[in-house]
Formats: sequence, structure tokens, C-alpha cells
Amino acid sequence: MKSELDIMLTVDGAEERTTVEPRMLLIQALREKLGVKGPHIGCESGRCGACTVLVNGEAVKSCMMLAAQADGAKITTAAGLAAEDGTLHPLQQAFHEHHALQCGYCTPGMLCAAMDLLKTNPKPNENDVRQALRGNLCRCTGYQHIVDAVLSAAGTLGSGASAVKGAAE
Amino acid sequence: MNAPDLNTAQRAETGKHTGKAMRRMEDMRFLTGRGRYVDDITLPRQLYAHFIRSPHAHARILKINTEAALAVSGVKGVYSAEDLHGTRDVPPNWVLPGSQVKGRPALAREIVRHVGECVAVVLAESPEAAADAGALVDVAYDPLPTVFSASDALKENAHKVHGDLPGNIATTFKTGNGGYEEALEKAGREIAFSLRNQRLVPFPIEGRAVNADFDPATERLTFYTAHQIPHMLRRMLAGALGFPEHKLRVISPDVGGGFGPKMHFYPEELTLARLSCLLKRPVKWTERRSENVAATTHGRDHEMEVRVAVQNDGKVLGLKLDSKANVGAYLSSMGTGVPTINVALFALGVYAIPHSDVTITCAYTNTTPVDAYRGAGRPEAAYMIERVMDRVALELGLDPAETRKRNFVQPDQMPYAQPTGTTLDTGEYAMTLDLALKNAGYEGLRKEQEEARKKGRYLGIGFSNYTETCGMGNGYLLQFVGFDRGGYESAVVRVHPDGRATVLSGSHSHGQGHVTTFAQIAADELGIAPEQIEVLQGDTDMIPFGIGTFNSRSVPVGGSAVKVAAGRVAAKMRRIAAHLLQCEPEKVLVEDGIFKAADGNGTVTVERVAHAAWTGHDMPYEMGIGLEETEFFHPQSMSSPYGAHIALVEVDPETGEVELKRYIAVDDCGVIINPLLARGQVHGGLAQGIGQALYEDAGFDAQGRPALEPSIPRFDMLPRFETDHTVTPTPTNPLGAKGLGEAGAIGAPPAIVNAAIDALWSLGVRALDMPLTPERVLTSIRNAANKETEV
Repeated sequence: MKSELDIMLTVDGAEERTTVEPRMLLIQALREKLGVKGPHIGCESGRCGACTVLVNGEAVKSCMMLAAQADGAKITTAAGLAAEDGTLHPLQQAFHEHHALQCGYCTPGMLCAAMDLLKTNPKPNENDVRQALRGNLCRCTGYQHIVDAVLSAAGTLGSGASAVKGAAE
Repeated sequence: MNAPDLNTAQRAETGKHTGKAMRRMEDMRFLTGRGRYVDDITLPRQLYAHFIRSPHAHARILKINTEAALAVSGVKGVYSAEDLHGTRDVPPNWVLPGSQVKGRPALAREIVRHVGECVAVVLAESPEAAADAGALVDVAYDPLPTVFSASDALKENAHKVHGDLPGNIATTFKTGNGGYEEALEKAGREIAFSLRNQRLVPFPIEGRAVNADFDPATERLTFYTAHQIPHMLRRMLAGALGFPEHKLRVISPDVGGGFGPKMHFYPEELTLARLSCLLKRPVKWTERRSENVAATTHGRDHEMEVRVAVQNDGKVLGLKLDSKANVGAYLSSMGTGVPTINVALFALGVYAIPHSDVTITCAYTNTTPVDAYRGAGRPEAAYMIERVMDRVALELGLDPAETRKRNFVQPDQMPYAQPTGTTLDTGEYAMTLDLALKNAGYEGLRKEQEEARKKGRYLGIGFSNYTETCGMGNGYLLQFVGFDRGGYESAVVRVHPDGRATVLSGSHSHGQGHVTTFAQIAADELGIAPEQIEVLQGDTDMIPFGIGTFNSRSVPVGGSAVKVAAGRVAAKMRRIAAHLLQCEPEKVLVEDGIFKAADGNGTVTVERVAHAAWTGHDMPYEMGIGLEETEFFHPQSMSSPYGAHIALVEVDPETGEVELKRYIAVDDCGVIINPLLARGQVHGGLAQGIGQALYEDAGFDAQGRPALEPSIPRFDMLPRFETDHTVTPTPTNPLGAKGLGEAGAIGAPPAIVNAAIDALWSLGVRALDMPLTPERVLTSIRNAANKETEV
């Protein structure tokens, strides 16, 4: 009764083949078929951005794309951002330095959305960041530390913006 | 007004590691997509659940037809209430004495009482099969009359939410020392108004998730759940299920945000545990967002009428509060406690108001149950008393900061027993307010406001000097208010033979960063680096009975347990080191894992000490074996964090838009363990408090269905926050720390609404309810204008 489709994806550098129902979403294929658990499901309706991945270098909410549409694509998730020796990508390092994550659930999607921003606009100002990332919800951080992290990774963070008052480090 | 360096002057002494902005040790797995949340766990022979939920706010269930659903390939079964006979309702865990208790049924029996209530559940071999079959379950309903608000539910002749409960009253709570009428006579002036704390959807980005796994071989039930309080859930689940508690293991791995709702016990959890035991297979369920907004508990929903007796100098002599709280269709875990105790006890805030008279009535309605959400009752109290203070100032033409100072409880009055029943342990409210005024550049702001007004622009400045309470007090006090929990927290500190340490904690981080802060606390005691310490939480088989994470209690209570346990281990390490160094234990110093005698003769490493402890080699028999201590830290009383917040808004009277231009927060949570993480907590709380003030609303439609997206703030909807701290250590625990997680959510709503009213006061605007949507602001301006023309 069901017609299954064979698809091929390159996920974080590894070639993966699987079969999916035509209706299966990319996020479901990644999580359920391929065991790629970095991107998360937060709303299934494109509102929260927790499922954001890079599809051929562009940020895509993977709950808004069918797995079959991504056939042949190169998918990058948060797990694929670090160097092969494990060294964090400067954006990941900036998230760590600026305490830009708390529960961590939105973080993989947030990183992918920010990667896309920095590719299209390598020197964003604060307003650029707030506009570009508005499709990704975070309920923990109030966003300021994420903004600081992205600006810092881009080298456009004003001095002192993120200093913790009274903290000897 | 200028008090230079208040902040640093007041900063309490901290240690080598505590007080430092250490970066989080738990970050790595989240940054690399390796967090482990419940939905990431799939077990062999996994079954998947899909719940059938009521689309009606109140209806009789006539028939559940499962035939078509059962025909779907891969479906294991469809279950309704009759299949779960013998299962108790999900009971509340905090029941104010005298309450009428209606717990949540695991699956509805005959009647559904809110949209989203569970009616049946499909189990299948795949999530897709479960959902496909779920769409084919045909439930016939006969809709019944509905009531949605507390004030409607409390009217005579209101429809009954529960047939056997006339009046819909869950409980009525009264407190205060009375004497309001006399106070009014003396004061000579009364200010009265009504306020509404709208219903909020907590909205963690990870919804709830469960994987219930009964193992017939060991007769043990392993229960994975995204939860804040694993041990308490074990107790509540075992009780409702009739399952032996010692054979029930709750594992809560990484949790994708909580904010309160994940500290409750839910019908889905009971149903899934029961079905796993019945079918002897693991059953998994991951909440969808549409389920989250309808079935996971909501917050607030409190309607208030307040009257204050005030002198012409702004001194408030009496307060009378009559309040109606909506608890929803059933009592959730915190039952009738949060809307009564957590509101009424804090009704007087940080002010010495001689007379008070507080009545709160809790009403059942045909809505999603309301329970603890970030702040849990204290935001409602703070919103009321802080609105009162700005209102008093505006009515009397006084400065709102000065008005507050005239009413503050003074430092020399501490500890101060409020007649409503809480005790403020510490607070230097004027000092903290002065720092906020300084950081805001307050005098300049008033000038800016004046200048802008001349140009037809409406700037407003609003204040909030909230207080709250953190780290629940001792068990005896909790028993007195019907809270069926202890007020302690557990910690085990174990130093291994290699000199590294494990900390087990009954608290459970859902983003707060305990792995780092608790390691900082233990490191200062043990004399080793935080990186040598692993903090483990969230597994009831591994961790001594704990109470969990809520009430901003993890650092003050859980952190104190770590400090005390680690201190005892450190004392034993000093005794062993002293023996090895042949000196007195008091003479032993430790730093970076090296012990030495104060007078300088020789050193031993922590590894050497730990090896001696775990082998008994080179040790006298009396020294005993091991380096491990367990502490159940049980505070006598609670701490009272507080803060001074100032909001600057600009309101466009043509469009009704409110722009939050600046937000200045000075919080006092006592001693700060990690200032970077503390700031993260403040930011997160502010985002939710600002969300409540400006944007968020559960947004029920006429049928009682909540909105799918309740306007959660996005990046471009929040300003850059200006945060700072004063440090007034609490004497209620050995860290001097008070708790901070809920501060922003408590402080922000009144500051922002006060600012908007300040902006529009000259236009006659007096009443303004949250959220401050353009439509609501415009209506207030128009109503004010109409009133003027009437006069």
C-alpha cells in the first residue's frame, strides 16, 4: 500500500541511504531513520526553529521540508560544525564563552541559523542578528548572550558588551 | 543619591572557584548536538503512544469507536478509561487544608472538562501508525455548558465544573492581621483598583516526553521522563499506580527547559506507566506542541481587587486584597497551594504596612489546569503590590522611588515577620533601589521624559521592588500548609582513589548549569579543581532521595547540601593528610590537590590521601574507610531574594504600541556562585516577565481552545538588559545564597506596566491590563478620553 522512496543524504560528511514514506519530514528521517539526534523537534510547524539544519549550506527548518525533497543534499547539523580533531567551530566556542545556551534544546538549530547568517552577512550588527535569528525561539536565555556570541564570532561585538560586572576571571 | 561602588562594596567573600564566571562544563555535548533528551532514547521492542484528546471544554463522552483504528497495520491496541480500572486519579501534592480536591483522571471517565483532556490512547509499533490510527478513533460527545473564568465560575448559578461540587470553589484562603477599616479611617484616603494576571503558557521548547519500560524479568519499571523532580515523581507515580516505590526507577536525562510545568505529575505519565506494566513493553510518547499548549499546565490566571489606605505623604497604612484564582478543571500537583500561599504571604512585598486583610478564592473552570510557572504565585503578589506603589505615587504626585522608601521595611527590622505569614530574612531595599536609580541615570531620565512630553512623545518610567522566597523551609512548616514534601535537598560527595570526585545531587538541572556551579562549590571545599569533579543528577537508583529543582531552591538548598557534604569529606581528608604529614589537622592546608603542613614540613597529594582512605594502608584503624559523605540539607526557614527594577517605555498614543526602550535590573540573591550563570538566569526570567507584560496570553477562543502560539518573545521583541546585583547574604544557609531563577519573571511585569501607565497618566489612563497589546492600550486611551468628556 505504501510506496517507499529510496533517498541518499550526506549528513555531516557521511553518506547515508535510507527509505522514507513520501510524507516523511526531513527532521523525522534524520532523527528516526538515521539516528541523527542533534536537531530537535519543538513545534512541527516551522515556528520554533529547533530543527534547523544546513541543507547545501543554507539554513532550513527541517520540519518544513520533506525528506524526499532533500534527496542528494548535503546536510550539516551542529554535530558537523567542529573540526575533525574535535576543535569547536569559532561560533560554537563563542556560544560557550558567552553562556549562550542553557537547556541546550534550541542550540543545535540556533547554531545552524547563525552559521547561515554569518555566511550571508559576515559582519552583522546587533539588529542584523536579532532580525536574522527571529525564526528561532529560545525560552531560556532571553537571547542577549546568543546575540553577543554571534557578534563575537563575527568580530563585531563592542568592547565591554558582555563583561560580567564584578567578576574576576 | 550617588553611592559609589555599592555593588562591589557589598559583595560577599567567595572562594577560589565560587564567585568566578566559570564557563559551563556541560556545554560541550549541547554545542555538538549530543545532548541526550528523552525523545532521543528508543528501546528494543519500543511501542509508541498517541493520545486522543477532547476538542470540547466540557462534554459527555457518548461512545468511543475504535474499530477503524484497530485495523491500521502496526496498531497494538486502543485504550480508554475502562482498560485502566484500578488506576487512581493523578492527585495534587499540595493541598491547602480544607480544599475540595478533584485530581486529574488518567483517561477521562464519562465527562471531559477541558480541551486537551486525554480520552483514549493508541499504542503502535511506529509513531506514524499510532498517529494514523489516532485520527481514526471516533469519539461521540454531547457538549455541556462551559465556564472559563474564575469570576464567572464563582457567580451564583454558574455551571458546575464537577457535578458534586456546587459553587466551583476549590478553596478559600484568608490571611493578614485585619484592621483595614481602622487603617483607612486613620489614613484618610483610599486608592482602589482591579488587576488581572493573565493566563500564560509556559512553553519550554522541548515539550514533555516519556518512555515507560517495565521489565518482567526484574519486575522493575524504568521511567524516562523530561522532569524537574525525579524523586518526587517516583513517589507520586508509585502511589497512583500502586507500584512498589523501591522497584520504580525514574531517569530524567537532559531536560529541554522546564519553568515549572515539568515538576508536575501528569495523566499521560500514569497511563503510559500502567500500559507498559500491562503489555510488558516499553511505551514512548513525545508531546506535540498542540498538546503542550492544551494539556501541559498553564500559569497565573488571577483576578484581583485591591484597596489601600494611604496617607498624603504616601505611607500605606492598610491593604485589602480580594482575589480570585482560576485553577482550571482539576487540581494539578501544586493544587491549591500556589494560588493561595505563594500569593497571599507576599501581598505586602518589601513594605511595612501595618494592617492587611487578604482573601483568595480558588475556582474550578473548564480550562487546562493552572499550576506553578516561573515565579508561581509570587509574580501575582509582586504585580499587585508594585502596581499599588506606583499608583500611590501618581495619585499623590510623589516620586515612585521616594514613595517606596517611605514604606520599605528597614534593615534594622530584619528578620521581619509580615502579618500575612512570611518572614523576610534580609534586605537593604533602599541600597538596592539606589543602585538601580544610579544605573538608570534616573534624574536624567525624568528630564528626558519631560522634554519628550513637550514634543508630544509619551515616555514612561516604571518601578518594581519585588521580593519572593526561595528554598522552601523545613518540613514541619510545609506540613502546616498542606505541602506533602520535605524542604531539604540531598548530596553525596565521593572522592575516588585517584583524587577525582563525584557529586550526586537530588536537584535536577533543566538548563541552570548545576554541573558547573555545584562543582565550583565542592571544589572550594575539597581543594581540587572543578574540572576534577563530576556532578550527576536525574536518576533515582543512583541518587539519594531528593526534592528536585523548583522554587529557585537548587543553589540555596541543593548547593548547600553539596557544601556541607564536601566540607565533611574535606575534614576527613585533612585528618588523613595530618596523619601522613605527622602534624595537627588544624595545621593542614590544601590547594590544587596538594596538602601541606602550615609550618612547611613536606606535602602529600590528594591521590595519596584518597588511596589511604580507600585502602586503610598507613592509617590507624579508628580513621575508618572511605571518603564519602551524604548530606540532607534541611533549612530552618526560607530566604528572601529581592530586587529593584526600572523600565523605560515609549507609548505611541496613535497606534497603541509600547516600546520597551531600557530595562534596568538590580537583583539581590545573596552570595553569587557564578556571576555569568546568574546573569543568564536573570536574562531568562526577564524575557518571560517582559513576555507576560507585553506579548503573551494563553488566548482561549470562545470554545476554550488555547492558541497554538501564545506570542513567545523572539529575538527582535526584547531589548538589551542592563543587569547588576547587590549582595545581602542570607543567614538561612551556609552559602549565603538566596536563589535567582525566578527573579526576572517576578520583577518585570509591574515595572513595565507601571511605566506604560506613567507614560499615559496625563491622558487619564488608569487601568491597563497585560499583555500591553496595541489594541488594549488604544482602548484604555479611548476609555480615558471618553471619561474625560463625560466629566
